[in-house]
Amino acid sequence: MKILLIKNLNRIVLKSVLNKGNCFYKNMNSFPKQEISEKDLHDQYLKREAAIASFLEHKQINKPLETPEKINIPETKTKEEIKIKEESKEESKEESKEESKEESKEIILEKSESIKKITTPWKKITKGLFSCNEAKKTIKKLINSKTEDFSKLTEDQKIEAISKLIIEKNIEEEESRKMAIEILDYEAKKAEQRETFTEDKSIEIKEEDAISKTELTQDEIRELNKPYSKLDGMEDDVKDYLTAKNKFSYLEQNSFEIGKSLMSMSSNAFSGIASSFILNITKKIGSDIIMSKENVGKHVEELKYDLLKKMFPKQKVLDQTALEDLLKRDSGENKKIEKLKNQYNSICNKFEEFKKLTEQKESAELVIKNFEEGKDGKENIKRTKEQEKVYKNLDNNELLNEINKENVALVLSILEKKRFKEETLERFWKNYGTIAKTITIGSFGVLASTLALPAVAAAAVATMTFAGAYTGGATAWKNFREVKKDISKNGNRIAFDSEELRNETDLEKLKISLKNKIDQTKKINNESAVIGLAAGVLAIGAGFGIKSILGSINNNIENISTNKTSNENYLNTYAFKPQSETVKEYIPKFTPGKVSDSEWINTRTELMNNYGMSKEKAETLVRAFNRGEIKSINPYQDVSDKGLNISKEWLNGKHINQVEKNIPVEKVIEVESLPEIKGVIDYTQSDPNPLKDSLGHKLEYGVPVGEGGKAFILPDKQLPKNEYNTQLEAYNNWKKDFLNRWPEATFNEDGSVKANLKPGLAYVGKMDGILNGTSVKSSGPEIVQSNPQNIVNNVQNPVVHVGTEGGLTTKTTVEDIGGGVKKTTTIKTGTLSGKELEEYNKLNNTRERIRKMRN
Amino acid sequence: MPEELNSQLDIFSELGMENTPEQDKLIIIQTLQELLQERIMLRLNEILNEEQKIALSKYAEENKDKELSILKFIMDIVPNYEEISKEEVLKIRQELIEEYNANKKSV
Repeated sequence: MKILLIKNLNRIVLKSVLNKGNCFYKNMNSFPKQEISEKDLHDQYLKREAAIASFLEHKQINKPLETPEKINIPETKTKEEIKIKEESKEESKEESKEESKEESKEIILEKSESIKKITTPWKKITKGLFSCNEAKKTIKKLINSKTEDFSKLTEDQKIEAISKLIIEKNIEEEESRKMAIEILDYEAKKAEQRETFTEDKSIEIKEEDAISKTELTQDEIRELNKPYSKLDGMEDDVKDYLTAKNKFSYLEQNSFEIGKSLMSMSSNAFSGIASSFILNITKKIGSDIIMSKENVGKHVEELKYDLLKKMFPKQKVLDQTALEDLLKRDSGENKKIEKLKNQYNSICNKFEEFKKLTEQKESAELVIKNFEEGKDGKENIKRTKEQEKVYKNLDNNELLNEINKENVALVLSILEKKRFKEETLERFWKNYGTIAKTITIGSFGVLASTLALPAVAAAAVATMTFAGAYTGGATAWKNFREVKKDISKNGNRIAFDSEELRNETDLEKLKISLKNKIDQTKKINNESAVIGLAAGVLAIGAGFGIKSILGSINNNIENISTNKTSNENYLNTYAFKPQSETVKEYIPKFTPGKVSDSEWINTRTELMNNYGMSKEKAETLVRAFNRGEIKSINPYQDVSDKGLNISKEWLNGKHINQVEKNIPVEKVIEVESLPEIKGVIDYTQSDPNPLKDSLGHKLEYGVPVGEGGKAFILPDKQLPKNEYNTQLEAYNNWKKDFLNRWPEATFNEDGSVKANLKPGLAYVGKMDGILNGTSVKSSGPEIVQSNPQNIVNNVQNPVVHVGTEGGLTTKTTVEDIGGGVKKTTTIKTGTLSGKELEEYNKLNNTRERIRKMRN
Repeated sequence: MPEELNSQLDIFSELGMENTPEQDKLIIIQTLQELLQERIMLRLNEILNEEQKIALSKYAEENKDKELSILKFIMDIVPNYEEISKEEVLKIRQELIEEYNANKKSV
């Protein structure tokens, strides 16, 4: 009984395997389905297993080789038992029911044995195959592995080994296909075992695996042609050929993906393992072996046939066409059939996509073949290589451009890091923008010559530099800088208004561009235009240097400049000697870091006595020298950034009470030649640069200011004589000005005005009825003109000269301020009339409005 | 005068950037020029005394659009202005070449 059952069981299993194989791969004739003894059948099965053992080994991937017993599928075991039990009943109808029941447990046990019998040969065969010296040697050689245990290889190594084995053994395509299909067959067998007990749930075709592309879009075609469209000189047939190659490669990948998707669908229908394994091998050894249209087509047809059979299991007709007819007639009421039908249609649609792409691929292949293998094939290839070489050079140029970009970015980053904050420079320079612009122009020639800049580049920069300079206005230069900053930041090319320079490197064009720009700028500023012209021409000629620039334009200036009096006045007034002669830096006698108390005091005293420094400033500088922050002491060093804001004590390079000795008197004091400063001190406004005297009193316009800054007051008598006199002079000037407007004003003892007015605000407009009903002369007030530079340092008596100039009375005072230094101040007074009076009244009205607003 | 002044090799050749597109060269030159201007201004700030600085500021204020006149004014008070400028250019060039090469090596 037991033997019978085992035999039956084996027969059932083997039959199912063989039937499956025949259904799917009926052309393979791997297993004859004609009459055959069970023994032969079993032998054939084992033999077949041996042939595919290497492939089957994938089941052990990434885990230790399982014993045959463990290969059993636990979750289906119970159902298998049931099935076996049921089949046992069917097969043993002649046996009594009681016998069946009694032996049912034994049957179950025998089932386990039968599985062992199926799986045991597996391991044996695997081992057998790979114990074969030749195979082992090959694998070891191929994968450079010392291991003889195939199961211990990684998945990649297994695939690599088998793939190479197939190739090295020169296994023909058909043979490879057979081997692959046999794997599927095995997987089908396994699937069938599960399927039988899992209500067809194993058949799940994943639509998402499918690739939606059916054919190339216009964009894709354009993209494929793009690389070659760059070359205008490339011949059309070469372009077509290269495009076809490109296209073929692209399509091949796509069709492969769809083919893979189809294989995946089928693999999902079974175990989900075999196909992926085949696909991996396929990738290794090339797609043509399995993924050709014919092979995939065959595979799909088999899959479709299998699905049809599942839909109509009771039909004895096995012909695919007949089954398809049945499907067409099916009403679709059966849900199970409907599901299979959908899967069937999905497979069909996907295969259609695959065929379309494959056809396109074949079309591209044909172009390639004709081009390469036609009668001019060799010549064609030669032409292609030549033209491709140009194309590759283009690629190289692109690479070069990338490198250039990186280099430029690096240089710019280095330079930008060295830049100063604009605020830092603005702190040093009152008119930073104007001077910066000047220096840029002045330094341009030096830059160009010293760095030996290419003429074209220098010319373009010159153009931009001067274009920037020409824009005029207080903020022009700043704006220009901002624009350039943006350019640097965003990597855009030269901006400003030099668009035409971007694409023109031709020197002649550049010259024309420069000339046009100069023509434009001429309209803005004659002088600047000349500068631009001279500099631009010089730049193009690569003859640089400030002197040469100046030399070539000085004449132009003389011709153009209509107001050279002002320039000359300044230059004559401040005929400074070079810095090396005027600035005498002081080097303390002590070694930095090792100063003694006496050295400290002596140095400080020396600085105070010889340079008129305040104690604070002297100490600050001595301290800085001692710390090594400065190598020598510049008497005019601004120490405000070192924590002591005492620089305001210094005006015109001199302490408020003392003048630097080394400035020659003759050179400094030429007040008469100073340009006239129009306007008066506006006492209605707060002094923008208030100072403090040596006793700490706040000064505005050189006049002491009382508590809270509410009134001008008399200077402190405790002050040093010179300082006191200077302040008194300034006070008297203000008082005189005030009384001109407020004749009846009275003053307190401290010198402040007795009036409920905001002190310091001397009303300079018409005062009718504003103060105590009194009025001032309507014929126009007297004005006081003086050099603002000397206001604070207003000198004391004596008046050395009184004269007239331009209708105004001049009063020139010369003060001996000690040390052989004299200071001259000219005060001009007079009455305005006509246009000047009109302007003056206009100014007064403005002041009146301000006064009202303040009140 | 420093030896480097005799060099006729342009800065781009020294940096191995001869093939840099013209427009990129222009940007670099502009940046160089700006840096140079700043360096010179700082240098002037160091060497001019307060009186000279104030005078220059006043002159610049009243001659805003007459850069050349201002330049002449500067050169009158600093006769070695051109030499100073050249020194600053050479310093910048030296620094740039050294840092550029150092960066390239580290890359």
